[in-house]
Amino acid sequence: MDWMILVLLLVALGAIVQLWLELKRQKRETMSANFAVEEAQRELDRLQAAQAQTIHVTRLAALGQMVVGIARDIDVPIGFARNNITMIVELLEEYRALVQQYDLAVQHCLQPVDLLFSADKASLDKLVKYVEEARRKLFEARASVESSALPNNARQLLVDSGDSLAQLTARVGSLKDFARSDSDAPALVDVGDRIDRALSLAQPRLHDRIEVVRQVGPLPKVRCAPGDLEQVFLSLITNAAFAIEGKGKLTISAKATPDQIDVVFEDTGSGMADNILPKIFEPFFSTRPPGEGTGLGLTIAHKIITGMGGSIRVQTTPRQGSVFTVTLPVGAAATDSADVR
Amino acid sequence: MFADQIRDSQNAPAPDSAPLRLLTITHDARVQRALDVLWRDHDVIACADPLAAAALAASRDVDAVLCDQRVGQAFGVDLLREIRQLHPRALRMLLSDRPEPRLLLDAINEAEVFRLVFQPWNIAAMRDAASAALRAARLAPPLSVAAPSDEEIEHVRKTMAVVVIESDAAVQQRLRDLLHGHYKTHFAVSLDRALQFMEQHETGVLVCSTASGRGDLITALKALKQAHPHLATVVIDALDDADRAAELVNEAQVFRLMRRPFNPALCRPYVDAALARYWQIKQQPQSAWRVFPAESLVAERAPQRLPPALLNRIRGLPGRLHEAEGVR
Repeated sequence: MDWMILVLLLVALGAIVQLWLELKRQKRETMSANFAVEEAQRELDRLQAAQAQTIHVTRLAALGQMVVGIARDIDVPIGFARNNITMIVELLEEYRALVQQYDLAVQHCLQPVDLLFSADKASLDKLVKYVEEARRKLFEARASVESSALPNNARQLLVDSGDSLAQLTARVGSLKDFARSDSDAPALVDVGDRIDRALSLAQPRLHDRIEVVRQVGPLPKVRCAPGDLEQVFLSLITNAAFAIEGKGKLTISAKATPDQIDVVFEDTGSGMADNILPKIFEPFFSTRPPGEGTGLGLTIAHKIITGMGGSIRVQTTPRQGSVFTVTLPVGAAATDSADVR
Repeated sequence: MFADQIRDSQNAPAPDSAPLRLLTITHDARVQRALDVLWRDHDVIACADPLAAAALAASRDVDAVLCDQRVGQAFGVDLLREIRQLHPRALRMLLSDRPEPRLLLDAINEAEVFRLVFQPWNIAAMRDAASAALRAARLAPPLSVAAPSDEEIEHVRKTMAVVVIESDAAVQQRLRDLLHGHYKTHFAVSLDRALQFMEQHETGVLVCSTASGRGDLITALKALKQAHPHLATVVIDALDDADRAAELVNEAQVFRLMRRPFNPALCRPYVDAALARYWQIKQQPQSAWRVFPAESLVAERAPQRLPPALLNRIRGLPGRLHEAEGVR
């Protein structure tokens, strides 16, 4: 009987040991799984950081590509103001000469006063003539000073210089906004405003040679990082500008349905050949000469728009132009979101 | 030297001559006000209406026109081209704050601008441009827009040389294929070789690439145009630097510009036009004032910086302007 109890105890002990070992194995596996999850999370974080870094670099590259135009943008208003200042100095010098002539005329008038008291009849006649002549000179000099356009011209040049510098300040402000907009939190964004900002940034590439037709009415807002949307539009506008050799036209239109907004960029550029079209969203693919493009603009644009639940579609005809359509989903207006123009 | 001949005969306009009548075409009121003050010693006529500009230039018989790159919906180059047809006497200047290669090509080859002005402008250069325009308006007969007769062109092709300076063998061969047999051509790999030929033969047109040869060919072109403004040049340039294009126009008075790699279809029409221009000036030497180059804005690139022997050689080239003969 005792040995049976002993056997049962041994069996029970064996079962307990096995159970303990199983628990220990499971705990190890759980720890391993947790570690794998943490590792995966870290990897995800790393990838997200890398993606954000790529977007940031692309954004800065876009600025870099525009640097010549930006330099000219800055140079023109500064140079305009500097030239105006140079001319204002000239005008002031000329005005000073007029005032000096007036002073001389005044002195000329004062001289006979001293003579008046010691004059005889003959001298008085001479004096009258002298005074008449002096009055005429004084009148002319005064008329020259009063009718001179010089002070008005100088004042207007100063006002123009101020306007020019204010324009420069606004330009620098928009560049700074664009460069630092990576940290933008998602918000409800005015699409039309982002189109305008992108157009303003792309102005050095468009300028007078490309006629921009903007057909954007009131649109519902979309939820996204404001800088991201601006980057997408900038990329599409600069691509259109690159595709247009010489004079051309870029039409930007936008229309909304209850669910989505379609923003269409239609250019009269060179279009794309059939073998180019499938590659345009591939990373590092570019038709521009080396040094003029990162090959990431459309890749990033596509990533941003699909990340928002939207899409980018392309139609192109070689030697006639391309049409890029960006479709953005219209989210419910959240009251807790920041509202960004 | 031709320039000396002109200077010796009739130098500058008389002091009491009428001021320059200058039409400025811009939509930008600030630019217009600045131009009004800048050229306050001249008779400035402002115009902001692109549709009225050409007719106004003709009806007011202006001496010169400065047109903004864009005036409302109109392009400055198109307006200047129109003015060139309607009122060719007016010297044309294009004002631009963002020059593009296509714009530069059209400005030079189609509007035949006298000066390219980029914003922000250089005040002294702008006033010099007005003085040069005044001198040209008072001294120089207009250059006709109409092409010379076939007979004249044939005569010019046979008698006046076209010198090509191109050090790149492949490009030179291409130019040889295009030009040889149609003109009295001479191909040189350097400026030195070209000058050797030009010292012996009457040369009407110089075709060269800004990448050719050693040293600064553009500076040599400036010296050539200062001494021999009647010589017409056709230049091939990458057009990757707008300031260089302005230098070629303003200081070297390039007659035609081709963008590298050049379009072969343009080569002969451009050389024909250049020969015709040379022939026109040869017939009426005073008209060379209309293509007289500006002084260099950058001292280091002024002709005076060329080696004295080269500069003297360029200046010493025979002018042959008073030997005009042949068909009429």
